[in-house]
Amino acid sequence: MKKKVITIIGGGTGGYVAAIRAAQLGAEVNLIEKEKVGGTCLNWGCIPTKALVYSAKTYSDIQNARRFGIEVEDASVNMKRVIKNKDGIVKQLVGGVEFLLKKHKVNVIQGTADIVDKKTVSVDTKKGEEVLKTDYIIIATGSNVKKVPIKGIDTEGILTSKEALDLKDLPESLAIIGGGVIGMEFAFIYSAFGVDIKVVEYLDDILPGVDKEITNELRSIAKRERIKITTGAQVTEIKKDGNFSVKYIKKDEEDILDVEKVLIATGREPSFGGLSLDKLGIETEGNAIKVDDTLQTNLDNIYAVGDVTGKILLAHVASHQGIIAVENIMGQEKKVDYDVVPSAIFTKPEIATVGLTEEEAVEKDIDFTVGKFPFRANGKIKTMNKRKGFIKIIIDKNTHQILGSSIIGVHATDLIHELTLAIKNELKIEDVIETIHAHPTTSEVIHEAALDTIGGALHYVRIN
Amino acid sequence: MSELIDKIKNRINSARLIYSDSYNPWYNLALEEYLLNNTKKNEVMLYLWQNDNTVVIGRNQNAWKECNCRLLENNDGKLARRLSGGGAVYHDLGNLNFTFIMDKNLYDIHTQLEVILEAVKDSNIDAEFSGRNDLVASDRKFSGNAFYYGTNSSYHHGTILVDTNFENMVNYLQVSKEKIQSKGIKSVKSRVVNLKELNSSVTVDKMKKELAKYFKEIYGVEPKKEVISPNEIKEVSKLKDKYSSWDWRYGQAPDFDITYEKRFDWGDIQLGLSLTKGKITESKIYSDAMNADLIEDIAKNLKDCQFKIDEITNAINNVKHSKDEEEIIRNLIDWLKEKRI
Repeated sequence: MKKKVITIIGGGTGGYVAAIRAAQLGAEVNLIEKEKVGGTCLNWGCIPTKALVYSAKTYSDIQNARRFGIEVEDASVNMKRVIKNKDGIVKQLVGGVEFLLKKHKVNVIQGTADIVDKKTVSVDTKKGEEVLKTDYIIIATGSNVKKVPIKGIDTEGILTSKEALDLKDLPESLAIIGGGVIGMEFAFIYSAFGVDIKVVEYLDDILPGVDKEITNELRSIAKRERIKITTGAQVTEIKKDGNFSVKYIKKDEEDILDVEKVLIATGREPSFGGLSLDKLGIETEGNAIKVDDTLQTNLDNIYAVGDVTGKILLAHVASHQGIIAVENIMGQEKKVDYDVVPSAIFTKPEIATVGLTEEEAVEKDIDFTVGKFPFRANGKIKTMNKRKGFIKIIIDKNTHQILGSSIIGVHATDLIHELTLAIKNELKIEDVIETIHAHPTTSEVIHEAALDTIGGALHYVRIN
Repeated sequence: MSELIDKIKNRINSARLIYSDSYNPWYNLALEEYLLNNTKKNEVMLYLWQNDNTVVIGRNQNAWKECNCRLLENNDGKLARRLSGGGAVYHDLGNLNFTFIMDKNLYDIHTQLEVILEAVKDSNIDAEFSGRNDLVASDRKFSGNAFYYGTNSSYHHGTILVDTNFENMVNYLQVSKEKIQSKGIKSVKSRVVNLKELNSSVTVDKMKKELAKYFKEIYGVEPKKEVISPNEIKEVSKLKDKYSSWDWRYGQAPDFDITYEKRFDWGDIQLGLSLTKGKITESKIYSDAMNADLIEDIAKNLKDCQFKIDEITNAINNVKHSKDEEEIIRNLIDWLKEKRI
């Protein structure tokens, strides 16, 4: 039988995963990438920020080493080495993806694609244009930094997350505009390196969508780290005059921050990568490509996955969508489900969430109950001296089905998956309670919080 | 020599050498597509063809921008759009086109180029492959190559300049001076050379023979020779209708915006059109003329017109206007008639 030809536009986490999956299922695959495979996540997002997070963590661990009986003198940050370490990690991972694509015989073309008609893709490469005939097209062109209309936002020297990953000289002070995930991660990274951080957020709280109790905890930790957070504040102007001045209005009062650098972290928005969507009549919805729950656009052989669909702008959602799109193309009937998507935030300490927050449970008028457990009551965490944080589990009061969990604390992003699995499979809290959790591990906090939902934790007593 | 060639030689089970007896680009491109669609398993073909007085643009190009189509058509020339990518080229009978069409399995650009390079070198011309899909001799381009990757079969085709009229080439390939904003592929200007200039004994017929010789030698096959009259094959005639159609040649341009500006006695005018598939989807006119209603009506009437001069002049003529506004209408029409529409 003739092999199906699938052409994927964009080699980020949506596109390259789709390419590998398609090759595994026996398709002939073209993958077009204009910059580097791995996309934003590997090159300018999740991975490089984590490299900086771990440099920052190492530095603060050394500063706190004395408590563990280790004497270290004269530790200092060498940003050039920090950046070099990050670049090395990115290079290894991108090389790894390139290797995987090669092994799966994916035809990777370096260039800018355009869709010429439903079954034809043109690629502008360094050597000239290439025209490919294809049976299916998957659009995976990702997203760009969203720039909000602030006077002076295009002033030279203002950083976006991309430039903030290459700061070889640390500024004394940094204003971060936007208190979402990207803004807060950078706030904790640069604060640990000794930069004076001021976060300005337009909404009334940082980290929209995250459980209130969690954001409150993070804000109090930030305060102790001397990260200044101003919420409900609208930035009206950025000016450069040697230093930067950032003007904002909060409750009708104007204030000005004087800082050495400014980072714009107001989020990301879908990018069509210059494709002629109108000519083809591909429908859009807001600023995203409209897809159904099999990731098909309004044209039957064209699919879209990842940030360009504007659903949930996360790398792991993009790769999940990529797999679902390919499986549908290859004749399997699969649908995406966005209900149980864990999210991971690499502040210090980390935050992880899945399913419903307490606010959402109230809003949906669910009869629920919450189990909580503080990290300081866990033995292993005590030895690590990372006592801040807690876990919350929300269950249905009547059926005991697990509905959501939010964690703030050391290793939160690794702990979330036990609960993700439980929620995805509609487990009851008893299923977690009756599962033996090894001692001494951080995972015991899940067991204890589970117990707390129905009868009370064994190693903690609530004092009201 | 390519390492792949031994593998390819082992796989080949059919080889054809095909000549077209037509000089019409629409027929010849139709035959090329027909051969591509009907390639047998492990078959390789070398197809040789010529077009008279023709501009061929790439798959994702804008005819109005890349070619002086008005001048070309006035001189009985033909505009054609090919399936493959790349820039605009001029063909006349001093140019020979080649197409390697094969089962994907047999595709290897180095083997294919070897056939062309050896054929040219036989005439003591030192030819080589440049970085950018061109073949050059003494740093000047004599052959532009383009590629099309179908789902089963692929082709690699190109021009060979033997004795082409460069004056015509320069005139027809002049890029539009209008302000055009578009996606798609821009043509790249190159310094060109006719092979005849490098060796006066080279002719198109001689090149045909050399290509046949090296096709046979390099692929190690005895190809079946055929002269095809494209108009005698029913499917080819059908494909020819596509290649000769306005929709394909002009309408397939990527979306673009074009702006015309002019100062008339009665005022300045700026006409901005947005086009999708050769149709005006948006039309805006800015003018400091006193007749604001007339100008607005003209803009309204232009919307949904095909980008063809007759439709545009009709649309402007059909706008209700008073006697003293006739001059404006006439001026606008005369002005647009000078444009490449």
